[in-house]
Amino acid sequence: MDLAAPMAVDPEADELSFFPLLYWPLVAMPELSDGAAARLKAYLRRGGLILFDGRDAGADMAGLAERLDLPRLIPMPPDHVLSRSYYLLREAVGRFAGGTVWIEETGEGDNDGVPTVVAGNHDWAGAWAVDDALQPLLPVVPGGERQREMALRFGVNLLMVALTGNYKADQVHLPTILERLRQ
Amino acid sequence: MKALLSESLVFAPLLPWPLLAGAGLLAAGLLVLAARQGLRGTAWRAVAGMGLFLALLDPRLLRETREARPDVALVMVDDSPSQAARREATEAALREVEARLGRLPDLEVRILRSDGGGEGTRLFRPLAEALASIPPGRFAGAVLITDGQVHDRPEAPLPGPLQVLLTGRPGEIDRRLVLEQAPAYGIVGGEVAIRFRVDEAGAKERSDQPVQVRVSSEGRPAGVMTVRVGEAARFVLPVEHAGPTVAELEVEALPGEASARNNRAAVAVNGVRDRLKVLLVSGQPHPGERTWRNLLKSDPQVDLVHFTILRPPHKQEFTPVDELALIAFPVRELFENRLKDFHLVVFDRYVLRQVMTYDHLVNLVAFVRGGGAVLAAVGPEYAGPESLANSLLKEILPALPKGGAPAGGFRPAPTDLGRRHPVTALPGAETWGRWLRHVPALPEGDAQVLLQGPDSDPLLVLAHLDKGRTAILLSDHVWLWARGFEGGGPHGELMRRLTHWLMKEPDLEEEALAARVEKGRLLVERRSLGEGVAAVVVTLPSGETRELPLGKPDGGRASAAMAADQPGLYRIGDGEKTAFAASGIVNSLEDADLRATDERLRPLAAGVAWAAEGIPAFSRVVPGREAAGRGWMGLVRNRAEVVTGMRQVPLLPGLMLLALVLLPLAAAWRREGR
Repeated sequence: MDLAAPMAVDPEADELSFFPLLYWPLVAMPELSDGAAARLKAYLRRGGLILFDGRDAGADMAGLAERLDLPRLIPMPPDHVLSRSYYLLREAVGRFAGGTVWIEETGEGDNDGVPTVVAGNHDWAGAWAVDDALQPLLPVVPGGERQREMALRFGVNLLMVALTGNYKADQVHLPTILERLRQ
Repeated sequence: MKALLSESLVFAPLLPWPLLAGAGLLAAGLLVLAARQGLRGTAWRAVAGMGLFLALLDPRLLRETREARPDVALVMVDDSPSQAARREATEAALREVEARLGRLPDLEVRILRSDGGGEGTRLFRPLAEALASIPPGRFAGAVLITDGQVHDRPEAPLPGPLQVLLTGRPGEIDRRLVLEQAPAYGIVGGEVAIRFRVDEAGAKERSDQPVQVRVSSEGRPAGVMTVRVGEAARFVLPVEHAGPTVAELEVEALPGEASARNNRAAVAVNGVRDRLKVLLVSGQPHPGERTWRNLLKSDPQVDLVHFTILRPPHKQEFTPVDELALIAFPVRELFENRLKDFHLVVFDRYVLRQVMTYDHLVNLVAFVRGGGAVLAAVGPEYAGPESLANSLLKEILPALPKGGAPAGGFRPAPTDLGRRHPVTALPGAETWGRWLRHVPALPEGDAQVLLQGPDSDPLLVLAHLDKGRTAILLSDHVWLWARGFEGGGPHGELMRRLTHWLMKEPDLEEEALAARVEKGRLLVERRSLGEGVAAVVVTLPSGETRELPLGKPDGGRASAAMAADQPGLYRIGDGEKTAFAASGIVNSLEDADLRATDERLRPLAAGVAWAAEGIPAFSRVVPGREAAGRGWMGLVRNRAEVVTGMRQVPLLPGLMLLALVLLPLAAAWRREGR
């Protein structure tokens, strides 16, 4: 995958359908208009994915959840496709480690088992940020550069899920599928 | 009509009877008194009294002219299908009956014909309807000319005798083929069992010899079975393709049997595919991949195997293997061993990166030519150096790149051909959202372009290749429709139809001739992208052919219908394609027993005779007496009459009255006075 530079998105004006993934840092922000809320809801319904990142405790997650009709979130189970869609990850980390990553609870049928919402308090963007010389901007706590690498891998995995869906989860069943084909 | 004259004496009393009687008694009493007292002139007074009494009674002479009205006899001819083999004998019998009844005086003969009504032979219902139009008291009787296989009874007893004249001969025999179990569906590639039996009726001894039953499938011979009469037998029919497979079974005729019509039966078995197996190979992660995945996973008929190249071979990856969740793309397993297990292979933005060898490509081409299908959904890489078009696959791809992959918005639109093709005949094309890039290409050979992009560049191209099919979608932006960009478009329906067309779903065939029998009618539908034909040729089970004109085509579809009352296989041809339809158990009541018989009607009829033994003589009989006997049949004579004129002549005109009353009174008065 070749990634372009991240783009700021205004849900009022921009076409959301171009973006496989939206990163939403939870900071204090003005109230969403009805139009923006409607567009965001449609985005989620049609296969979009939003990563909510609580950098500090200052954001009103509950209010946002209601405005956008967000689904119920559960803690990410250890063998979830997000931990193995490209890299094998034992835990999900950002600039901060520890803490839970929350995902939408999905059955296998709906949306190919892909969560539309992922949330956590890990400041992923902080770990990913680089300057023009591609040098990292912010220190990662407590794991240092190894942890930054893991944070980057989490991002790649997330993007893979956004683009390939539950593909990796299928792979576990591959031998059975191939066997069933023979019949 | 003869006119009859009748005369009778009637009274028209001027006073009500009781009053008259009372007055009479009074007068009589007075006279008796007078006589006792020796009054002279009593006798004269008595005469006067009687005269007055008579005057009060007003006797008249009634003269009526009457006309005799003729009776009506009904002749009902059985034209039902069971009589098919006896038409000549029936007509001959009818002519003779008409002639004989015509010789009887005062008899109106009405001839009715009935085809039985379709479910068995029902003659009594039309007979009752005809009876309703005959004035009461003028029904002479009904004569049925039939084979005796009548399946209804009169609702009310007939007001006259029922005479039955049977066509055919006593003691007929009939052999027939009975379908015991015929499944309606079968899995493609599998087989179904048809259970049947041969019955014989009327023969004194059942044929001991085994009989032959010929089986054909879609007009071609499929086998000959030898079975014993009365025993169940089983024929195994292979189901080779989706859609209806029509088989016909026919047992050899028994010499001298009443009819061979019911020796045949046909069965239509609908072939359904068990599961449609699709291999999706994605060349790189991209938003469209989710769309393909979602589409194929949500199709209940599809079993999907999906592989994505997550990391191209040329990109270095410094992560240790045990931290990666990548597996080797099992190219050998899929493209060497398992390819024939799939029905469709979809290449989703796939480029060749020395992953597939030349032999794999050879296998893929053979797979398509042998009946498989390939769909290429391509993006800008199709115009690049590693494109699928730069390999052996260019032999099977329906469109090859011109060069370049411009970005630019456009609205996908159906071509003229696309509007008629079942895959792209979708409404609302003006409202579809735009796509933002495509790959310009040139269609190969007689590939069909169904959707187009900017500058009439093809967008969706389909092709047939030997027994297989290929298709190419020259843009990777169908996911914009899924995401609802500018309102989106029917991505789900379009892709579903495309994949199912590639896997030969019969309902999506662009050139198709289909036929089926429903409720006794043969329905034919022809779908075509080209010119329609005016008519199709239908071959009936009996072998006779008939031309059936088709209705006006509507969007490439034209249809027609005709009655299908013969059991067996109908073959329909339009010059290029052939379709088959089965009429198996249409009129089972009618075809169950084709022998002529007297058993059904004898309890209802006054007289039953076999036409073959001689048409009986007809005569008029008195109602209530015997109406049939050896060699003769009777029709009652009701002697119905109608009064056409009436005259009353009074017998005691005024003058006579005067004389009868006054003179005796005068005489009495004189006598008394002496």
